[in-house]
Amino acid sequence: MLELDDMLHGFLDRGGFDDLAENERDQFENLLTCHDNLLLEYLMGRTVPADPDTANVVNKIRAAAQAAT
Amino acid sequence: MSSTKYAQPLRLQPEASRILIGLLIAGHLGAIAVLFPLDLSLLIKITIAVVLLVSLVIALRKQPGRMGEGGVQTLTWQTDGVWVLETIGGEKMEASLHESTYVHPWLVVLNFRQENKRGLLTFTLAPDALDRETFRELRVRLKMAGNAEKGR
Repeated sequence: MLELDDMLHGFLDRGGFDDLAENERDQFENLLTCHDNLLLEYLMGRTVPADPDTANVVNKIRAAAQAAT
Repeated sequence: MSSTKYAQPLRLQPEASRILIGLLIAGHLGAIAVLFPLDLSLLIKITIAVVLLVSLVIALRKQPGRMGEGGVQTLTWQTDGVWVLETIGGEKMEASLHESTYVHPWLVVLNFRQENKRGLLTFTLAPDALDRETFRELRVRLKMAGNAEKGR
């Protein structure tokens, strides 16, 4: 899905990953293993991850995408 | 380009890509087709056509699911950033990702350099060579590795 590529690659290009703490980086990697549809739900804000740490990283990715638009 | 650390390894077992096989066949046969109307001697045309056919056979044999590039069947991006390539026969070899590796949403070209060996091992992956999630994870990780490399 190109939307996922746009958001994730945009996040990386804007230095979002570099600003994450060590445990948040692990959460980011865990996010990558989600199925496309679930990850899209998270990043579109239609579903909130049950794990608060994952939700925090999702919020950062979403915030970076919104800041770029 | 492969020194970034990861929380978990990424294991790739690419399958033969119908997209790539189709493009390879269309490209080679297309080249042969445009060869014959050219103003060249028949011997030269036949020679070039044979070379193109041999090239096609070699390219098809390198596809995953057949011999694979260098006989490699499984590629593992370990947590320490090192790649381990495993052949059909079970032989494992470490390799580092070369900076010429190419990432696009519809195509990933992994170029590896092995210590004490000349040349690069190249794996061209179309989206149908891996499951969607693994292909996306690979692209994002490659982007992370590329960004980390640029930041040095």
